Amino acid sequence: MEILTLLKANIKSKKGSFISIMILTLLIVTISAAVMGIRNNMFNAYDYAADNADIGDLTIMIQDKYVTEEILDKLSSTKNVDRTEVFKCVLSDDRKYYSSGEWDGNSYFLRPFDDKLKVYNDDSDGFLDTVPELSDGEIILPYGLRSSVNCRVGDTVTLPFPDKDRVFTIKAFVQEPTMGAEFIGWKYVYISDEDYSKLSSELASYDTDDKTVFVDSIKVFKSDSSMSDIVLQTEINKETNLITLSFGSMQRAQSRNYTTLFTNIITGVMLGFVLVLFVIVLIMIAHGIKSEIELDYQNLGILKSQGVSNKTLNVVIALRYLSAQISAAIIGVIAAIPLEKALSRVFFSNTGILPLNSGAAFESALLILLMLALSTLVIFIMTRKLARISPVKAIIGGKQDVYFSNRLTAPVTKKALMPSIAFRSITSDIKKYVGLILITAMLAFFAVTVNLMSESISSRNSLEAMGSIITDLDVIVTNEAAYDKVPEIEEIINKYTGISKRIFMGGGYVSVDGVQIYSSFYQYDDAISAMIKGRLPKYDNEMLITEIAADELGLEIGDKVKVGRRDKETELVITGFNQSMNDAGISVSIPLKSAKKLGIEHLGYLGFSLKDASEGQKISEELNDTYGDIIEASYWDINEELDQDTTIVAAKAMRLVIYIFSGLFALVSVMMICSKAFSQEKTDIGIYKAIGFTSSRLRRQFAVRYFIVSLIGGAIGSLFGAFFSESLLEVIFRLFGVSKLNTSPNAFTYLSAVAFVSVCVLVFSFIVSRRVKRIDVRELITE
Amino acid sequence: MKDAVLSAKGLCKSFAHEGGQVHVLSNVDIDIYEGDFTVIMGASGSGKSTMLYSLSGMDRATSGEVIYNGKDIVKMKEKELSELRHGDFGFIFQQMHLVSNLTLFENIAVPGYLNKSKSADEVKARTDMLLEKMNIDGVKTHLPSQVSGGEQQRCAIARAVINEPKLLFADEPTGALNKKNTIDVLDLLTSLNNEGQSILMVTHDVRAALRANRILYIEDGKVIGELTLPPYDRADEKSRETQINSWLSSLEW
Ligand SMILES: Nc1ncnc2c1ncn2[C@@H]1O[C@H](COP(=O)(O)OP(=O)(O)O)[C@@H](O)[C@H]1O
Ligand SMILES: [Mg+2]
Repeated sequence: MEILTLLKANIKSKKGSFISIMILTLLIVTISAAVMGIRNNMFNAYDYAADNADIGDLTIMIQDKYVTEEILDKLSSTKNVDRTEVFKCVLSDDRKYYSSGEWDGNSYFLRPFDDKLKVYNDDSDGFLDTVPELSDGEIILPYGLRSSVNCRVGDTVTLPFPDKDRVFTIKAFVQEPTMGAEFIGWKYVYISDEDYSKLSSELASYDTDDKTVFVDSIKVFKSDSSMSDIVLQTEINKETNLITLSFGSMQRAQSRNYTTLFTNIITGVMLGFVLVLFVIVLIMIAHGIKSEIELDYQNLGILKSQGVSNKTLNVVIALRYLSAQISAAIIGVIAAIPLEKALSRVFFSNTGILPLNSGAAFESALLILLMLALSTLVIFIMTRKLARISPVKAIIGGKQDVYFSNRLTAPVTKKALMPSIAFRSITSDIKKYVGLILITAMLAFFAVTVNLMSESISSRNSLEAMGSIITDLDVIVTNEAAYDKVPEIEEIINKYTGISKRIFMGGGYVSVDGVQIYSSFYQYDDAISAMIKGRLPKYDNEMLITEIAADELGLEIGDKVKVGRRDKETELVITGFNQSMNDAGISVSIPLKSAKKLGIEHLGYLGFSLKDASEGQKISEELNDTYGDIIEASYWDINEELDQDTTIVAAKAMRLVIYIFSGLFALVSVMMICSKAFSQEKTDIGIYKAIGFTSSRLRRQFAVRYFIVSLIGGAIGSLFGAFFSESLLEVIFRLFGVSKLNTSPNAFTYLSAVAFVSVCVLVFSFIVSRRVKRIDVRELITE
Repeated sequence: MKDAVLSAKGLCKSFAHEGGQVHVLSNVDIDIYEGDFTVIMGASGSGKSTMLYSLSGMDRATSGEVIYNGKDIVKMKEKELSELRHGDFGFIFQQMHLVSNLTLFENIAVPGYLNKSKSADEVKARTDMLLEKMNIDGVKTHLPSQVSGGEQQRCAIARAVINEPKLLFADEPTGALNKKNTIDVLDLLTSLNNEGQSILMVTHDVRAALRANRILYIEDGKVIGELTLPPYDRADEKSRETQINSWLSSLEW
């Protein structure tokens, strides 16, 4: 009973900190519950969709000529293979043009509709009960394309084939879990049975050794669900060589990983950030209790003299903070529901998998309990001091003695009166500022990290350092005759401007020591933008591998590996590690010299970096005019591309979100810390007023003081950022396939973080300090 | 007749208290003269401090006027008031109220630094002079918590006169001090007065009132008695004390 009475009074008198803790906890719970919900919704939806669509544990895309009865028998009898299914597909040629104006370079495998798939309704918020009948010239696309090429139902897409182009009208979008996500470079697309038969017969004569038209998709189901997909793949290859012969294959685990990668990373970073915010809340609780005990010293002493035990006081304080957190947690969980729905929609356009509404009730509950437990721990550590308050001393002495240290002082000067007094206030009682220093340091650290993150993916140089291929002018070979025309093509380019880089590439899957891996084939060393160890291949028996792939396969520089492609095999030596984001960083790069042994004669993609990129448009026009029948040239405005890239836009959005939340946290923590400081400094403020300081001067002094503190905190945070942000980011970027970041932070990276945090603190503390006006000199009168 | 430095007319001060109003000062008319050592006496709770704060502009009167230098300080803006506080007025509190994280030297110098007409060096020189005069130059680098109450109060006096105020206000400056320190502080105030410093001091201690050449007695926020004396002289302290005591008892002190 007494606890309840005390608690009520206690909450009333500490409304400010009660509300602050509530708001912060609310933010944390809302974000984390929503984010965890999004993750659950996505992963569960993926598993559910993949099960329903019966996608199998491994999908092998392979030229149909290799798929014989014999090899299928062998496959079925492989250990751990339960059953297999084979579908016929037709492969479309290079670029697909949409009526939206965009084009797509992904590989499209055309096939009749797969009845196991679900088709989205017009609003894309559910599925149609009956799959619409496909008529001639109609096509159903996986949902991931909807955002990547910005197309809608009713738009048309032009698909090129060896004989001619064919135009299809988009009938609907489908949820396709194997390769339907935005970031996967293969796509199943569905046409009517009649169209498919017609297409097959019309293209029958175009399928040659050099040109693949007919592809079989083999779904493999494993019998032992505990077996990993990659082991299954390796075993199958050992028995049948199917993987080596194939175009490529995709394990279900890989599909899941690629489909969810983007959401996974973004939400992962958000969770990490929330963790930092929670640590800030703990610091604020600790700081709040500490200053509360100092301020309320006398009242607490009186309560003790009346027989209220330490334990009761402990419990009252604990209950106050915990009730703030619990009520915030309840509101937060509820507020998370609409947020989760809205954000799930955003990520849906990337995954193409309709999110479930499973939420994350269990995880949220666990997180909240963990939060409460940690808060309780902090509260009980901080309230130990209560035991040291002696009632007599408290009542007689009034305020608790505060001892100032006069070491570490700079003189107070006339020239810099305000800053020097502000500085003195800090140095004489530095302990009081530890909380804010820690908080600003953490916010600055996070700001530096997100700065680095968005810087490392938003400039041409930094993207190249991660292994991205960036060109100004692309030339795609559409007819073999073009291979002999490369000198003429370069001559045309040289008329306008110099060529600074030749990035001639091709790609496909090879097997490395029996494991299937994506390989880039390249002609000039310009194509390798990011060597991180070792040297470039010189001879025709050398190759590169990414660090992540080398780790995965247990390979080192200098190792000899058996590389196979279709029916060819050769031995190559690894001369170095390069970085490439193909297949989430698991790939090799083989120079054309070596690749010839694998049956690669030409590279179908000729990319150029130009000395003067602005000439690109004119060059591509002339190239298309002159050689339009054998090549397709296009110009890129890299800056424009960067502005539109999903990953970059997302990273920038995330930086904005993190900045906003940091600002919000800075606001609430500054409010709370400054108000506490205010109550403690009332007398000093009165004195300063009595000796002739104006309120505005004192406000400035107050704000400048917290500004200095936040500069210190910001500097510490940035310093930590300089040492640790890159490693932290590398952990995240590894998921994208980047094992080594070559960030080139500049002053702005750090200064903007420090400036942001400090300016927030300056502004907020200045706002809080408006209470200076209300402090009267009269308050100095003591009877 | 001496010139009035400060002159209040119809001064009222009331506080909002438990829903109603407490009228602490009602219609006080008072003149403070140049060069005087004026003392305000009265029982505890009679409104002495309230009067001092209203007269010095530390607090704003509810109504009435307080004319200083031709201007009504009741109507002054905060900026003008603060100029007055580090300019023509000095103030000494019963509880000293030094800034706890500034050294004694800095406590004295800081209001001097606010004064635009003086250079930093001039302020420092005057601070050193005052430290010596107050006999605390040995502890000038100490923090207030590291020196005695008497030393703190002498520092507070030095601070109050750093800008050579026209008028020095003091609210029971000896109220928190022991006998020895009380006499030191009173001697200092007396010597300042002898050098021409006008002083207005509140006290309920007769020994402090001895130093005055004019004593006002207030009760329930009204001036109900006034006593004028010749300037203080240690030699006739005894007879002064008797004179004041008999005056006070006539006012039912
Ligand atoms: N801020 C205030 N609010 C309400 N009443 C006040 C306030 N300040 C002073 N008083 C009242 O005014 C009266 C005079 O106070 P004060 O001037 O401090 O007396 P003195 O200094 O003569 O002891 C007292 O009754 C006191 O309770
Ligand atoms: Mg008083």
